[in-house]
Amino acid sequence: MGFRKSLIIILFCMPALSLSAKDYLASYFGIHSDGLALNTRSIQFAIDHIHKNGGGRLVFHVGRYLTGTIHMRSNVTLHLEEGAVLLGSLNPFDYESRSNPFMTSMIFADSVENIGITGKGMIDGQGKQVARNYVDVIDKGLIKDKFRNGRPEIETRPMIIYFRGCNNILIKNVLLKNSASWNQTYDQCKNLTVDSITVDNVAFWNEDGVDIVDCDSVSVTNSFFDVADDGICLKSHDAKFFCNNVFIRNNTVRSSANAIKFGTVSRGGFKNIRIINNKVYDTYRSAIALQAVDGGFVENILVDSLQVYNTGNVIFLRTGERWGEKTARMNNITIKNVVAEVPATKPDAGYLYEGPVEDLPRNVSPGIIITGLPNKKITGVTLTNIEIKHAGGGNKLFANVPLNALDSIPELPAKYPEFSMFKELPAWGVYVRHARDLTFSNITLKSEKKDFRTPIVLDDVHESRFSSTKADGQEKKEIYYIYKSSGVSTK
Amino acid sequence: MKKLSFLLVLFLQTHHLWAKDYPASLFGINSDGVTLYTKSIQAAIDHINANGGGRLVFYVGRYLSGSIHLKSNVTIHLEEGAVLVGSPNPYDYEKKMFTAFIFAYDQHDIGITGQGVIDGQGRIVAGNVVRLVHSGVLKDPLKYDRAEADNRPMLLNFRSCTNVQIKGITIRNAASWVQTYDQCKNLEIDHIYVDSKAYWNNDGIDIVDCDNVKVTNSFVDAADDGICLKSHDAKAFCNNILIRNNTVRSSANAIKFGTATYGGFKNIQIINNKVFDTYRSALALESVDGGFLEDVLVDSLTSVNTGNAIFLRLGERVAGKKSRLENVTIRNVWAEIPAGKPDAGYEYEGPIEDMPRNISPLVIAGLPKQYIKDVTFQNIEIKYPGGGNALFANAPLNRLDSIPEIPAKYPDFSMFKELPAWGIYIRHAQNLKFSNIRLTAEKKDYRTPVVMDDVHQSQFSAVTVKQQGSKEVFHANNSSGIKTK
Repeated sequence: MGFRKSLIIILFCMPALSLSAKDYLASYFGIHSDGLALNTRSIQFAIDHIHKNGGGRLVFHVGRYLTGTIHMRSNVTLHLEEGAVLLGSLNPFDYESRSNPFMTSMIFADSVENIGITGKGMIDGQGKQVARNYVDVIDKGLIKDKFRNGRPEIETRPMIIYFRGCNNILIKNVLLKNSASWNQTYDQCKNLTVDSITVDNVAFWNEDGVDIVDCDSVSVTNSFFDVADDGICLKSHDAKFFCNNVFIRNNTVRSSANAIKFGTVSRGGFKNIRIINNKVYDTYRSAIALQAVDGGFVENILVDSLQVYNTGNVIFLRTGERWGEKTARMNNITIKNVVAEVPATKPDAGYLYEGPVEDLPRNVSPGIIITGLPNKKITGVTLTNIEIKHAGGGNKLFANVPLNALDSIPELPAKYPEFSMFKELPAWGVYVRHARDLTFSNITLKSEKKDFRTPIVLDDVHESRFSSTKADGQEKKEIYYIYKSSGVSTK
Repeated sequence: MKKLSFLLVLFLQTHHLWAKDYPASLFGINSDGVTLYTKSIQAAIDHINANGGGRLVFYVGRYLSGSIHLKSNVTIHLEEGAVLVGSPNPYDYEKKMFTAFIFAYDQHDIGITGQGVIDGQGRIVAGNVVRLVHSGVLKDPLKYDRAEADNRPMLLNFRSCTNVQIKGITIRNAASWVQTYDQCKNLEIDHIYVDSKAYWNNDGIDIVDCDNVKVTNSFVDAADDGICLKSHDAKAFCNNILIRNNTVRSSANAIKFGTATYGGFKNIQIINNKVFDTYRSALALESVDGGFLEDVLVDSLTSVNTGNAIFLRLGERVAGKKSRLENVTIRNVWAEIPAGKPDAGYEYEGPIEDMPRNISPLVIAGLPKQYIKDVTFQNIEIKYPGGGNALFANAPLNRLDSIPEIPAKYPDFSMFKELPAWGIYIRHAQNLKFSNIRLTAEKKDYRTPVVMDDVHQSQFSAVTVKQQGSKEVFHANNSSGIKTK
């Protein structure tokens, strides 16, 4: 072998070195796999030990490993082999909370780097029992909690993962299950890879799939989410930060709230987000919900190749003013190649922790809802190759907003944003209010049953172009109703 | 009205006795003995502490826990049948100054009470520590394949606490010392049962530099020292301590001052205690690290089957650190010394060392020019087996100077190996008073009953010696002012 060739091989091997970090067996540290012995301090000792000795993987082989709160350290990966279950303790006192922000979690990481959770094993938060045990200790006055809606606060219950201010995170192959609160939250992290994971999180209220808060350089790929609350959820908790450069690809999501969502908390913003080739099914609210309601921005977003089955709403774009901040904006959104089916019945009926039926009366809401505010128009939205099969069957006697009463639709700038928030809307296909510079092309809308509503209603829409739009199933011939708008071309 | 206000005053004074009770179950602490409740018990203690104090009450069952921290105004109350079980997992223990199961540092008005049990599972814990050291996870020099004492959890480690009450409970199976009270004030230990032969260094009760302590009505069966007063800090000392009505069994010393004796011991009363099956001394008063030992009264001590009755030692473990040992009164002692090993058959027997020697006498050993002073012995009866054999070991009277001074050696009654007396051996002492002393040797012994070397201004009255064929009772060498009647 020539010198050059071996040099190339050496150079090739060097970056891969970190992948072959030292493996430490959990049993080496006397960590028990019986599911009964509480291993919190043993696992913590192991993590600290591996960290102090140059890093590596803490490997769990088949068995059930009971633990309370543990803290990740730099250069340590928890590796769960197939059949290994990291099991959350049922005892609320076994969990720690952090402050600023106040959060409770089973696995914390704070300002560390090169960490991971990998392997085909499972983390089971036993969330339902844990949450009930929290209710018990709150009832007795042992833990202080506002206890709204008959449940302990989200931040009081432990999520499975809360990482903050970390760099180089790999979450791969694992199954995350039964969190007592959200599930995995990455807050102000950088270089996060979530790949080929499975999330089964329908054990209690507020169980999200993955929450990405003010992170930079993230990919969420090849994963499956079945969750009681939002599926893949980007948030911005801090007005000085924003989500940037996030790549969401090849995922399948089922949710009793929204499948892929920006918000609700959206103080800083969201930028350079690509959402490619994802599938959504049996989802109570929107397949895609982009919300700028807390003063932050949403811009440079690409959604491509989205398949939506049995979902309450397809696309919901919203600017709002929940706390009076005037700065929220949404612009440069491209959504293309979408096939969607909106059913007549509740899409998540029968799942545990179904979404609550609310915002009635209304007929089946339009597939696409774009609602800015009079002073906060949503701008630069391109929709191409969209096909929506809608249940139709809108009935005037059940709910009705006639076209001559469009101004009666409330603006609700401070209301919690959801596709159903306005109750009945006058369209079944697309409803747009307060927007500018829209480009719609090749939009196909079909309603299964005749619907009394107009397919597309535009209110306060300006400088916008609609081309190759087909609608089929409405009672009337008109596809568009355009109100208080200017510069709208329809071909 | 007067009566009423008297009752009211009485009520107010005793009111803290009826502090609020919190059952452990309130905090979801189950009694299965399997689930680890460290953090729940801690949350319970913190809660009671934050809400004005009270008792955390454990009813019958086994409660598994790692290290917990007792807080002011909180008493752990173990009802009969309740066992607070120490986790077998070494990682479940924390280390402050020592590694321990129950900590209390800088707290006041705390206690552990009730007829229940604290079980440290010490042998299992210690075994797990050794296993982790062998596998390389824990660092420890592993002397004799045992981990260092402070890498093994003791059961109670209280420091700088005031108003501490330990009452009624059984404490057993520590992996190290059992209970250490360090620089505490107003400590009462009453009616406890200490069963600690689970591992090496299992002291029964260690009282370190404490002020105002009572240890009463308790039973101690320990692999290492039984009731042990220490002084770790040269600026502090043990003061005003009453040790009364206790029964002690030990594979080391039953009642001991030392070994660490940096500050000192003062105003100590040791009244009406019983010692049995004890490998070393029933009473060992040592002052070897530059501290003082003074104003000690020992009254009514019964010692059965014990390797040595009384050992007083003034040493100099670090050269230049001079100690004092003076003003000690010891009276009404009845002791029986066996020919065999007194603790034979007990777990973690004391190691056989300092051989060859015939059965050792009562030993009072100071150092040249550092005299043990002002010691009174009154009404002392000691039964020895006798049978000392010059062919086995011999320290003849004409070679008393060959007995080593060894000022830096770890002090124990057997440290000098063979001594020339079978009853009492005294070296480097002055102003001793012995009255009404009865010494019996069952078998003929080649040694002299009482041997003095460098002893001054001392009186012996009513000394009775029973031994077949004994000629002289006393031998004094290099001494002055000795009166024997």
